[in-house]
Amino acid sequence: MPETAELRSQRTETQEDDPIELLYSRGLTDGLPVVPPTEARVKRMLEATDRDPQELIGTIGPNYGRATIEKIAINAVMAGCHPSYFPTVLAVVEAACEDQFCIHGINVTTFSASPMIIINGPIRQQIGVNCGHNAMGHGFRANATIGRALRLIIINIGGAKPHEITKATMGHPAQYTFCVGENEEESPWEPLHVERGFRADQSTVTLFGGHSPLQINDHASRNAEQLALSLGWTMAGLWNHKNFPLFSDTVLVVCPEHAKTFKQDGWSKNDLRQFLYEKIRRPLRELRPGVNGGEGAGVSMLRTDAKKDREPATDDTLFPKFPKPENITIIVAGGTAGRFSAAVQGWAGGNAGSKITTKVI
Amino acid sequence: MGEMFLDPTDKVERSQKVFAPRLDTLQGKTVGLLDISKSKGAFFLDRVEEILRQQYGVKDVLRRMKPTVTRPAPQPIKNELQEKCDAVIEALSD
Repeated sequence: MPETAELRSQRTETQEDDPIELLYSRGLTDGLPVVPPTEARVKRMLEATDRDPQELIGTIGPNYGRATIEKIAINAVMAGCHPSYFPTVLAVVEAACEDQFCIHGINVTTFSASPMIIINGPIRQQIGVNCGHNAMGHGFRANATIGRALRLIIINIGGAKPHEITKATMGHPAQYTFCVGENEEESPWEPLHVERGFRADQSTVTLFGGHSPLQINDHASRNAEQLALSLGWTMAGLWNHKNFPLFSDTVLVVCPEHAKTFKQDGWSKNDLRQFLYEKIRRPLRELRPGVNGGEGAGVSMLRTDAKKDREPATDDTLFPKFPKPENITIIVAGGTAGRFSAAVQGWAGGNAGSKITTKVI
Repeated sequence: MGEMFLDPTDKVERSQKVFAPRLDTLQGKTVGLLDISKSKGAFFLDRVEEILRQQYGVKDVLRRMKPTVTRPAPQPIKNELQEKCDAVIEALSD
């Protein structure tokens, strides 16, 4: 921050012996203890940027609180971030504040949506983002605290607290933190940020409004087609086994061993996407509400009988799980041993929901 | 003296919201029904409209719909409901 810049946040003196207890009593945590945001710690965080502490990145619903650089730094301290992570945290908040990301809806929906952060580029090595074994799990400060910083910002600046305006029915552990680095070094494909128009030597964060990961086991498929069918038919259960098509995006996190199988058969990401779009289909007769469950193809889909661009739907009409191939985002992450990939189901997507958003760090 | 810490919340001053004056009767009033675009909202609001017209003698019912459930209602819709209606019912459904 500029040398002359001043911090404007209100200072509170703790009367208790333990400042961590005070922060709990003020409702400023995610349920886990936070690092007390002393002025010294916040200033160290702000030294990682030249930007003015009062610069506004954006507002965060549902309360539309102002996410200034200073407020973001305070929450990053509380989350346990090292100052070297701060530029990444700022990019994360910039992405979250983009209108198309629809953070307001993500923060309040009964669906239990939460942002998944994907980090690409050289910053991964520079700040120690884990992309290998346990990629979506615990044990790494950068992953754990960058994701947590966004959660604390959503709580403290956005005002999204459960049992108040946040109405997630079930919630899930990835709401605490969900930050993964793409394992670009083990991927046969171009990394996500390059696919999205950035240079390989740039570092980016990509935010996805989704849920928690669903692990998919396949230790037996030895060719791309068998493996894709295995992954795809497991993903057919996302949201509900009869929600065809989804009205959301899906992130498929391919483990390095599975990625090798696709590479061996020369499949590109687009080949995989196209295959999943074309093959993971069920006939309308299996999707009608009341068949194997009350849930079913959405009312809007049943109405497509009347749409001009479609043949009238019959019981044999096949509906795809994925609305379009581009609704599947593919990254490679995880360790080099084990044939376990993962799928992350998205919250409502497109113009009516949240769009995947990438920002340069 | 204890440790000092900085406030992580946004302390923007917000204007105090007050409730609109309560209505004594719905007779002869215009009631806005805002469908938030959730599935089957219209089904529910059709019945509400019927009850309002038949049992409460409202003068008019103004039906509007948010483009998407995921975002707040666009300002023009809010303005119109505020200007034309004596009361508004916003329907959440699923």
